Amino acid sequence: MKYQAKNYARAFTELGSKPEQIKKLFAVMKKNGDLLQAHIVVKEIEKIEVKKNNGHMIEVEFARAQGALAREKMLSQFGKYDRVVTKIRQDLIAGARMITDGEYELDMSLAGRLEKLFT
Amino acid sequence: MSYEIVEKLKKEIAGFKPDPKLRSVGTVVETADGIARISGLSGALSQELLDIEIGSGKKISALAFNLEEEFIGAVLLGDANAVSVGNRVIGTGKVLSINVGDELIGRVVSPLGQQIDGRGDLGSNLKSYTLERGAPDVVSRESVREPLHTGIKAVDAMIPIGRGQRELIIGDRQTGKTAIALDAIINQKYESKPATCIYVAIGQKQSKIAQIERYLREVGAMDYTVIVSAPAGSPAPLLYLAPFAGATIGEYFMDSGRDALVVYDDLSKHADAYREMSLLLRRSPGREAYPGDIFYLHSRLLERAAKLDQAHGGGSLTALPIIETKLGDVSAYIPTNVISITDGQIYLESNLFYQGIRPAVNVGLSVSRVGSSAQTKAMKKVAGKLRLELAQFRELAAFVQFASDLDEATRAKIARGELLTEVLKQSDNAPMPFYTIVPILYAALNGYLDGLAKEKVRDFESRFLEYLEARHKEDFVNPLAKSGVLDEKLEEILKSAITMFKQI
Repeated sequence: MKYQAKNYARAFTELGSKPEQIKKLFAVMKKNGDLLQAHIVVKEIEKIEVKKNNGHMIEVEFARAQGALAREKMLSQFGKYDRVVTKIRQDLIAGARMITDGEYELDMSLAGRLEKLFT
Repeated sequence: MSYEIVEKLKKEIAGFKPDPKLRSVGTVVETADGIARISGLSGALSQELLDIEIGSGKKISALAFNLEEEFIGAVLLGDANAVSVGNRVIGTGKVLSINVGDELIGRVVSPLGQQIDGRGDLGSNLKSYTLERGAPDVVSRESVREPLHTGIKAVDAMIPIGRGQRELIIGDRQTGKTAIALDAIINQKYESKPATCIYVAIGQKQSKIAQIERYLREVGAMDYTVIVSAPAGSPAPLLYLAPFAGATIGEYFMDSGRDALVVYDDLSKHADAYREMSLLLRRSPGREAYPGDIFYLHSRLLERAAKLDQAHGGGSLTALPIIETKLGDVSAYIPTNVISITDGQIYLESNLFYQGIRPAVNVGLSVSRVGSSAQTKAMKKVAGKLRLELAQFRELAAFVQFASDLDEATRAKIARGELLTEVLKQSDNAPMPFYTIVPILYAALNGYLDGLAKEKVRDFESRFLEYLEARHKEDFVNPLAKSGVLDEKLEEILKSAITMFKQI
């Protein structure tokens, strides 16, 4: 690993995040032998772009798959520049859990409530 | 009864308000070698205890060590293999603490305060003490002036240790470092005010720790001793925490106005464990690849040894750290650090050990900076000349083989030196109370043993002590043990006792 993913992402976004640069970015990463961390670079670029527009990285975990309507309703709660990712986690039993910017958690799951009840 | 419990639970469940709140969390982004890198948790504290959720409701504790710009470097305190990338981490807002109390006496505990001797639960009367506590301040301290006898003639006579002192035991492997510490522990049973002992085994073989425990139990020393065990197979974080756990347990006894003695066996391995952790956490290596704060690590540990004043209970915590040198090199990094932190050192030499001088204390290089202010008056009176006579003997020792060509005075000094060296020999695990050391040294230093063959010294010593015990228990042994002073009256009794014994 020659450079950290964070640095590739920063360089790419500072060049304006132009689509024509993507090929070049991967070419440079390949040359440096850093292609294995491509997925991390993409995530970092995403983070920087979202932050640039005052948005948030949101991760919402549900106990089971949601219908289209419920999903629409949920997405409407967030801003235009927020990046929302949903996941299914059966160990939540019921309800949902939301993590903002990988740091703040709002737990509204049954598993979380049960844990609170017993601790 | 169960009906009441169910009703109570029903009420509790019905009245439960989940009240979801935002809480700070992190995610494991990298884990290997007992170390985890965590993203998020930007508000974590240094040394904060973190909980890593490893699934199905199970958690593993970790200690936040490196607080970097984007990540936290944490050391895992549980099964490192169970942690995987993506696990959620929750800050507890607490620093690491262990439960301490009188119930720990006679037990073997892990650095996290859990019993590991299979002798049942530690009980519920324990208090929680944080592992990393600040050392007592200057105002609450008192100068070290009460002796803590080790039962070793050479140490108690020439390198006296006081309650609240930090005395380093340093030497190569197999020179008797642990034996000195164990003798000091065993000797507490002869003391009028025994210290509670904590033996911290850092990076030692399980078999050796088991052997020490068994031995201490056999001689009855476990009645006032706690063993903190972090054997060689433990992960580095546990080796790192072990001496702090020992100091914390010792502080509990000190805070309750009692005297405690803590043995760190040994701090070389502790430094190695800290180096391992620091390198894995990608901290910059310094001299001998130790991190920059290795001095602070040991100084903050040993500063916790103190003698408190009466306003703070008057308790004390004496520390006996052990350092293993390589080929007698005391100028290596860790030995010099610990020498400069402690209030003196007992230096053990392989050469002396193989010459049969045991304990192999090098009297010239061993010092006690608190020294004579923490020595029993009787011992001070008797042993005052001992160091000087041995120093003179060392200067002349090279001429021993030409003894027949030397003048009378020099020959006498050499003979006296050889005799004193013989008198100071003592076997392992046979500590002597100070009131038995005083008459022996008195006899040797005042010429009563002159002319006695070296091989007969041991025999003389044991028979003379038996004689004193049988004939002068009431008028000499008991008063000396009680007062610790060899006044003129006792000295006269001792003189006549020696003369009488020699006639027998």
